[in-house]
Amino acid sequence: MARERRVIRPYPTLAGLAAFSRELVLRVAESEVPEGGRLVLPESTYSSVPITLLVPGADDAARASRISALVGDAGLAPGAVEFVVFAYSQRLRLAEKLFQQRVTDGLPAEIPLAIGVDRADALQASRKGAIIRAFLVLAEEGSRKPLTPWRRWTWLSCAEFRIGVDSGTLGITPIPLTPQMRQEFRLPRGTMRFIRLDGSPLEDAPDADSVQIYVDERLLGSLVANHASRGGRLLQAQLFLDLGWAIASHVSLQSADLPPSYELVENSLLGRFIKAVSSEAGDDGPTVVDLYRELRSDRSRFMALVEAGLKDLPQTILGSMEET
Amino acid sequence: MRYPTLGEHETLSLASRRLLGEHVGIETIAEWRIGTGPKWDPAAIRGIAVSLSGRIEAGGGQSPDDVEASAANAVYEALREVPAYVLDEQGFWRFLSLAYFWDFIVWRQSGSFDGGNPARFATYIDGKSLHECVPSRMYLRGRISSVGHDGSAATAVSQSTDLWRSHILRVITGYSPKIARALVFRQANARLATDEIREVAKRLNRAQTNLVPMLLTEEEAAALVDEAARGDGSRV
Repeated sequence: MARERRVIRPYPTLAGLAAFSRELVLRVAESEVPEGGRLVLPESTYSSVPITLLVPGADDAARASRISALVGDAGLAPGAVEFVVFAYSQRLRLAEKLFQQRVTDGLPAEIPLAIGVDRADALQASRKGAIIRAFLVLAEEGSRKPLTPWRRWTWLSCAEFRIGVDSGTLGITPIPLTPQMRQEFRLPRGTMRFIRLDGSPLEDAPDADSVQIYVDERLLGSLVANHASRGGRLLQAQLFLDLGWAIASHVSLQSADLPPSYELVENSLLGRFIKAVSSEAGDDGPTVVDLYRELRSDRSRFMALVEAGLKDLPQTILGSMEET
Repeated sequence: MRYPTLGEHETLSLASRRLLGEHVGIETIAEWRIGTGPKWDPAAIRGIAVSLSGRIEAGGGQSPDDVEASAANAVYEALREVPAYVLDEQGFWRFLSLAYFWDFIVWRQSGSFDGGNPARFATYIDGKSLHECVPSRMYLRGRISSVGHDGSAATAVSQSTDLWRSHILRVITGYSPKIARALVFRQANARLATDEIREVAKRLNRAQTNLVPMLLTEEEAAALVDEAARGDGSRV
């Protein structure tokens, strides 16, 4: 199920400042990211791409007078408000200040946040990408009034931008299915595998959380230790097929919206799965175009081609049957 | 920086072999990745590992939790100049876990290694979650204690790995060293029970959602924590 996060705040006087923040734009190389947007970059350029925050306004005077007016409308003294920009790395638990200035000192049209490889640590850590947040904050303690921000360092409005890395691969690692997770997902003790898709498999540039494959913790432990054994290879093949079914089932619900050609889904979870199948199948196996065509016309045949792509599978099955 | 890494499957397979008593030379197996700048020098980390091994061998009923805390600042200092893109790399933490911290991690998390099930011990060595993997959580604790401060927060509270992991590193407080330290020092001065500190941490997290908490001074951070601890809602 798609999730939506909303921030509910108790300050009705800040609508003007929120509107100002929504007009901020992050320029990353040649791309412009609107407030709330996310840009996915190739790993090779992530740590060197120039990043600039664009502040709306025709010129310095227009910007200064607009912000002062909005701060005044919010019932606050313009001298008490600052504009602050932070970069966050979730993985390294880093929040680094990139810019801080009183709004009465004026705001430039462009605020450089990263130039070349010399950049904040939070903008170097690419695994989970970075978040950039630009705040208007109350920099002085006010007097307490209901529904009015008064505490120093309360944020008045915030613009958020996300930058991520496109690894271009499926990159899925099974997660141990623990007793607590069974409870959370309401799964019986006998369940060995469980797949969850977060969002549509047609969405461009899926992140690491787009698909989660849970495997019984004991079974996963054994798989990790014996991944090259017949049983290990069978289980890995089964998980790959399970993922194919999960994606195909999800897509079939949206089949009316399926784009006409593979190129249009190439960077989605579906596209990457198809590419992985085709690569696994090798030169004499189905191409990405064949696989996508089958998916659009007949899901069962698509899965039959996926299975055929796992070239070692028949031998592994036969070998395991002979063992018994 | 040129730095060593280990793959995930390789790490777990090497770990399983080590648990069976096999000697595996990790430093010769690692893949060295090329970044910008000089080659990473492991001397300082090696020194910490030797010291930790000495403490384990000395025995004497030491608390593994407190031994971990005592080395946190040293781990941070040893890695202070390592670029963020290396610290972000799972494979680097896997290498540190197996090459230098193995004996300590197995001693520290002994219950999870009993039975040799990788699904139970992987989180402490695989570098996926930096607040669970033992060397990376020590680094984070050392960094939060030391940046702009004297590092004393790392050891201010005995038996506090859970406080650090659950109420600092996993939550919004982890981004704000001053608030994290204020929480630790408050706990050092008047230790709250597990349920009580959980409630305080919840209130503290809630209070921070309306703030830019990184901007608070040490005094403001201490006041915020005090208010969360009082739970009177006067300012939080």
